[in-house]
Amino acid sequence: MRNVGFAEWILSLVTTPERAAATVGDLVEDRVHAGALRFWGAVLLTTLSLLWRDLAERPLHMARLAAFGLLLQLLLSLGMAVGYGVLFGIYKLAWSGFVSFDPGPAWSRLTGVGGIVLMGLTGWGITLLSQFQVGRVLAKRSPGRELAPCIATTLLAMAVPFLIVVLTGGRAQFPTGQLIRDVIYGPAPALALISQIPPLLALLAGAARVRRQRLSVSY
Amino acid sequence: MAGTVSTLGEFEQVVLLAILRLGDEAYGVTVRDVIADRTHRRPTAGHLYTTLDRLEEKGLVSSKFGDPTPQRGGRAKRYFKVTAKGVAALARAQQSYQRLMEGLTLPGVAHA
Repeated sequence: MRNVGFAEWILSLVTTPERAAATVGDLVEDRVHAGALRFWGAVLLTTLSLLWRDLAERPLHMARLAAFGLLLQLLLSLGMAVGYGVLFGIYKLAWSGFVSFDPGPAWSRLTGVGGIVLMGLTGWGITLLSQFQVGRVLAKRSPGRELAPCIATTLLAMAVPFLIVVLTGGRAQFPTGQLIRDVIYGPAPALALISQIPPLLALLAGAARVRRQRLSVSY
Repeated sequence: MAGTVSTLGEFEQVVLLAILRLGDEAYGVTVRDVIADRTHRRPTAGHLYTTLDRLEEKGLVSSKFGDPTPQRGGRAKRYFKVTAKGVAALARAQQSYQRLMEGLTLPGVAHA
């Protein structure tokens, strides 16, 4: 029953708790004949269908929210890039010995590969946290349909670079000689797409939190 | 042109007819079963629930929750009923089909 409770929780992200419970009840009744795989397939497809309905019912509103979400993401990325550049600059200077401070044992652990990994993880952590916040902001602007603007923003964020690559013929270069396509997708486009999953989950988690808070006030 | 009258999609008509056929016993599982039985195609749960929600938002069906049952893990059934507006919309849609079919013979189909 614990798994069924999880299914109900998933559905309650895209419909009212009563409807989510009734829908899961139907699927439980059906599972007796159909099996667990079909049950979870039905939960997933029903969630996606309801999410898609939220997107399609008010396309202009969702497009506006997606543009707003993308703008927020760009501003946050810019802020992060600047902050990260400053941090990385300090790190490089310190490592090169241009900044004098006591290099104790803790500092030595931060240098070399460990330091790079730590900075990478910090970067990822900040990215996920900022996505979580963007998800919250978008959800607050779309009461009752909290998750839909996050999906719309992600779709737009994927569509814009794709269009840039298509419109430039994939061969356009920056003045530095780098292909625009390579800068956007890197050497492995599939990996670039997969790397979008954690930020998307963080975005949805932010929206889900707002929805849960709203529901707990309503009921 | 009819103007503001809401039109019904083919699957919406199928769902409304299934609910009418089931009377007081129309909820998710039975609606799907009737559709599968009568049309020989089983709709996905997602397609059915989004359609039911849309029909309710249009005011063509209403729903109420029954009592929780142990067979469903203590979860209530959501019973559906076609409203008067739903019946009218369905009648209009069916009349449109009939008018289109009037005097028409489908090649290779007897008694169309």
